[in-house]
Amino acid sequence: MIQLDNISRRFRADEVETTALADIDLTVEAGEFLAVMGPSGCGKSTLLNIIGTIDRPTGGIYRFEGKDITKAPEPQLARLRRDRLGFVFQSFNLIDELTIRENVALGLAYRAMGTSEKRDRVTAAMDRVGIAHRKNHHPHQLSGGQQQRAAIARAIVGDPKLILADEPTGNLDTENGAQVMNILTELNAEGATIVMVTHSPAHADIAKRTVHMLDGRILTSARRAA
Amino acid sequence: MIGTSLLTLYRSLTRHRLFALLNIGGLALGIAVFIVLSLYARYEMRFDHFTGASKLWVVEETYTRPGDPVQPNPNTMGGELDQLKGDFPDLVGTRYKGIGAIVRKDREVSNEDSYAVDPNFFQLFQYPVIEGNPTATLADPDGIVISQKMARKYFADTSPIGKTLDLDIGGAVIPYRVGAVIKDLPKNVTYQGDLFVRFFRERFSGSWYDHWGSTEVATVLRFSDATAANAFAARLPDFLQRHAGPGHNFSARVADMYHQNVRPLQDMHLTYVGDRTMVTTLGLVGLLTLLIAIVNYVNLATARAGLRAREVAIRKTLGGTRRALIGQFLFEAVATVAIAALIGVALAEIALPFVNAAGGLDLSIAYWGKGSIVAPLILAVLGAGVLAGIYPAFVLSHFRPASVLASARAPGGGRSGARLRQGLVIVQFAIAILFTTATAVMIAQARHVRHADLGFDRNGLIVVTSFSHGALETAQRHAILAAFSRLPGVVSVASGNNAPGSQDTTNANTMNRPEASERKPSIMWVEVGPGYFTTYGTRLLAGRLFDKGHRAADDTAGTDRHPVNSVFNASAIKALGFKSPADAIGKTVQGNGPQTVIGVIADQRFTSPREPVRPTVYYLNTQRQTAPFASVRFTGDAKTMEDRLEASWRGIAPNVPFAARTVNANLYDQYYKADTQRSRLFTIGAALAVLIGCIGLYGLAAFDTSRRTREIGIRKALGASTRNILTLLIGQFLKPVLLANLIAWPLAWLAMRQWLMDFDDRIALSPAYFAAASLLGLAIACITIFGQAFRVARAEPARALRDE
Repeated sequence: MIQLDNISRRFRADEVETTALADIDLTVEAGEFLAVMGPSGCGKSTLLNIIGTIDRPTGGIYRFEGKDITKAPEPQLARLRRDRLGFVFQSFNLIDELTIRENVALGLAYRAMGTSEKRDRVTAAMDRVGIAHRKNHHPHQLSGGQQQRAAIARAIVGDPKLILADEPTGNLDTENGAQVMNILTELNAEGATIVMVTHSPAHADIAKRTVHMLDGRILTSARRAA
Repeated sequence: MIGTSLLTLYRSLTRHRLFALLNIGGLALGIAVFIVLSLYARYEMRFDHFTGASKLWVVEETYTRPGDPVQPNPNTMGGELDQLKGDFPDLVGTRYKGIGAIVRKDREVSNEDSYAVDPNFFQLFQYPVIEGNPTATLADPDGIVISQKMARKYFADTSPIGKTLDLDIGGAVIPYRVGAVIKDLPKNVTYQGDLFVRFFRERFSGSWYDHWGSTEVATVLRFSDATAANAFAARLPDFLQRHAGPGHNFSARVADMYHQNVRPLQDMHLTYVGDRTMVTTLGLVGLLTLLIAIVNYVNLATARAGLRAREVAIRKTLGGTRRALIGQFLFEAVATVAIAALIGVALAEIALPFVNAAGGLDLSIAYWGKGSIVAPLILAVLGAGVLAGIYPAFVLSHFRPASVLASARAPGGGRSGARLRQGLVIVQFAIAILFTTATAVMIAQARHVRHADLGFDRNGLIVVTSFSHGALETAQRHAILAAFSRLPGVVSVASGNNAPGSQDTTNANTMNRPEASERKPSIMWVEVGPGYFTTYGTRLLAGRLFDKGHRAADDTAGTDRHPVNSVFNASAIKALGFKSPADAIGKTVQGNGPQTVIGVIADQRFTSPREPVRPTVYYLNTQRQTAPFASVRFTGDAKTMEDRLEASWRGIAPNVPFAARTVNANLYDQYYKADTQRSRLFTIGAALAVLIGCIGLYGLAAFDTSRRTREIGIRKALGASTRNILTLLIGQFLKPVLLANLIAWPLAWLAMRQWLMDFDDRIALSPAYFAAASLLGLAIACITIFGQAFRVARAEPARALRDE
C-alpha cells in the first residue's frame, strides 16, 4: 500500500538546516498494523505526516497504492486524504465549537454524499467507538478517553483504508489507552491498515510490526511473532 | 459543508461574544452610515427624475461684465420663447413664472405656492395626475391645476373638478375653475408648485416681457438628446445678436457682455460646484466608513487566525482543499456582513427620522418596487463580504496542517500579518483624522458665516417680505411703515428693494468715471427709503448717508434731476477704480446719467457667503421703490415683535397675508441651511467613522494584549513597572495613529482648501484644525487602548505566567 524510497525531510530556519528524516525506505502492506517507536525528535511524527500527505518530503519517492504521489498537486492529495486516509492525534484535535456528532460528521464534510447516508454513517461510527450517548456534548464536556474515541470515530467515518495514529494513547490513562488500542485492533482486524506512532512498548506489541527510529533513520524493523 | 460552516460561525460568534459584538457591531454601524449617506447622495443626485425630465433643458443667462455674478441665472425675459419659436419653428418649450397669488376663501386669505405656466407645461413636465386633464385645463385662461394638498385644503373630501378658487393676483381677484389635480410633488423636484394657471402677457407680465437680460420666467426647452441641445446652444449667440443687439437692449456686440446657454434640467439642483462636491463627498464618507468597518473585520479575522489554525489543519487532514477552505471563510465573511447588514438596516431605519429632521430631508428606505434597497444591499453585502473575507481566507487556508498540529502554540499570522494590520490601522486612522479635520473646518466655517461681520447688524432685525406684494398700494405701504414705527419695541423702520436673504431685484447698470472711460463695471442699483442705513446699522466709510438735512437734494422720487446723489458700497468704489472711499466722495460717476458719490458704505452681504458682494449703488426714493421689503429694527423678543407687526398689518392690509422673518432666520433658510445640514450629516458620518475605527482598535488591543499576557508577566518578573508596560503597549498602538497623520494632513489640506475656495466669505485654513484633529485622534485612541493595556499591565506576573 505504501512505499517510501529514500525519503528525506529537511527543515530550514534562517541559516540552520535540520534533517528530520534521512533516506527512509519503508513499505507498508495493506492490512498491516505498524507501530513506529523512537525517542522524542527522532522523526516519527514527521514520517507520519509525510505518509498522511500533510507534509511533503524534500527528497525520495512516495508511492501510495503503486502511484507516485511525491509531487502530486495539493487538490489530488486532499482527495486522497478525504477518500483513503483517517487521522488520529495525541491531542484529539476536536473543534470546540462543534458537538461530538458534528465533529464526527466533519469527516464527511468534503464528500459528495446524501444527508441521510451521512447521518447513518456518523451514527454508525459513533456506535462503533461507543460515544453515541455523548453526541450532543461539546468536546470540553468529555473525558480524554471519550474525546479520543470521538476523534477515532471522525477518522473512520469515511471508511478509510489507512489510519494514521500519532500517539493516540499519549494523553490517556491506562484504561482509556487500552480501550483505544482495542478499537484500533478491531479496525485492523476488519481490514484497515494502521500506522501508529507510540512511545508505549506495550501498545507497540499489539501491532504486527514495529519499526524503531533514531535521528531520522529507521534502525530496526521487526515483525511480531505469530 | 455550508451547514457546518454556518454552525461553526454561529458557535464562534456566541462563544466569542466580545469579538462578535465588535465585528458585527462595527460592520452594522458602517453599513447604517453607508445606507443613510447613500440614500442622501442618491436623493440629491436624482433631482428631477420624473418621466420625460431627461429631455428638458433650461435656458440660463449670464452677464460677463466686471462686477456681474459669475453664477448663471436660470431665468429669461418673459417673451424669449416667442422669439425663439420665430427663429426655430420646431422648437418645443414652456415657461414657468412665480406669481405669488393669494387664495381667498370666505374671509380667509392665504399665500400659496402659485405659478403661471404655458398650456403645454404638463406635457413637458409629466407630473403624475390624479384627476382631470392639466393641458386641457390650461387651454382655458381661467383654468387652474391644483395639487392634492390644495384639493384637501380648499375642497376637503369632495372632488374639486369644476369648482372655483378665487386668486388675488396683484390686487385683481380672478375666479379660477379647477380642471385637474396633480399628485403632491416630492421635495426633489426643482419646479415645484401647488397652483398652476395659464401664463399670458396681459395678466402676468408688463414692460419687462421683452426686456433682454431680465429674469421674469424660467424658459424650459425639450430636445431629443444632448447633441440636439448642444447644437441649439451653439446657435444662440447669433440669435441673441439678431434679437437683443443694437436697436434692442444691448447696443454693441451682445456676446461681449451677455450670453445664454442651456443646462439639463437634471443638473439644475446642484449648480454650485461646491454643492455637488459636498454631496459626492458625503457619499464618499459613507463608503469610507464602510471601508473602515471592513478593515476592522480583516484586522480582527487575521489577528484571530491563530485561534482557528487547528480547525484549518483538521479540515485539511480530512480532505478539505484550500479552495474549499477559502470558500468556507468567504462564506463566513459574507454571512457575518449579512447579519451586520440586517442590523445596519434596522439602525438606518432608527436613524432616518433624526437625519431627516437634522437635514430637512425626506429620506426613506424602499424595500419593494422602484428604488428598492434590496438588490443593491445584496450586492453590497456580497461585495463587502468578499472584500472583508478574501485576505483572512487566504491567510487561514494557507496554514500547513503538519506544522500547526505539531506546535503547542497557535500561529499568529506572522510578521507580514502584523504589518498588514498596522498598515490597515494607519489607513483607518488616516481616514478618521481626515474626517475630523474636515469636520472642524466645516463647523468653523458654518460658525463664521453665522457670526461674521456682514457689514450691517444682523441681530434685532426683521424683514417683512409680504411688503413687496403687488396687491399693496403705495399709500398702504406708507401707512404700514408709519404704524410699525409707532409700535412699542420698534427702534426704526425702513423700506428698500433689497433685504438680507430676500434680494429679489438684481437690476444693474454699467458705470464709469468720466476720466477712466475704459472701466465699465456692472453696478447693481438699489432703491431705499428714508432711514434704511440707520435701520440696518450700516457702517459708513466716507462721506455721508442719506439724511433728513439733505432729503430734498437726495430724493429721486418724481424728479429727473441730475446728477443724482448716490451712496456706493466699497466694492463699487473699488470696481470704479477710486483709490479709496474718501477719494470718491464728491466725484461724478456716469451711469444712466451722471451721479455724485455722497457716501461710501462697507459692503453689506445680503446673499450667499459663496458669492462675492456685488458692487452696489443706493438711491433714495421717499415715495415708491420697486417691489420693496420693509425692515424693522427692534428690541425684545422676535416672536412678540412679529405678532405685533402682524396685528398692525392686518389693520391696514387685511387682504394680503402677512409674512415676516428675522434676518437671521431669512439668511439661514436661504443661504446657510443647506451647508449647515450637510455639515451636520458630515459630522455624524465622521463621528461614526471614528467610532468604528476605535471599535477595531479596541478589538485589536484586546486580542493583542491577551496574547501577550505571558510576555508581560516575564517583563514584570524582570522588573518592569505597570507604567513601563502601559507605555510599551499604548506606544505600540499609537505609532500607526501618529503615522496616519502624515497621510491625513495633506489630503485634508487639499480637500478643505478646495471646499473653502467655493466661499467668498471664508475662514483661513489654520494649522490649528489639523493639530486639533490629530490630538483628538490620539486622545481617542489612547482612551480606547488604555483600559485593555491597564488591565494587562496591572496583572500579577505569577498569574500571567500560570495562565500560559
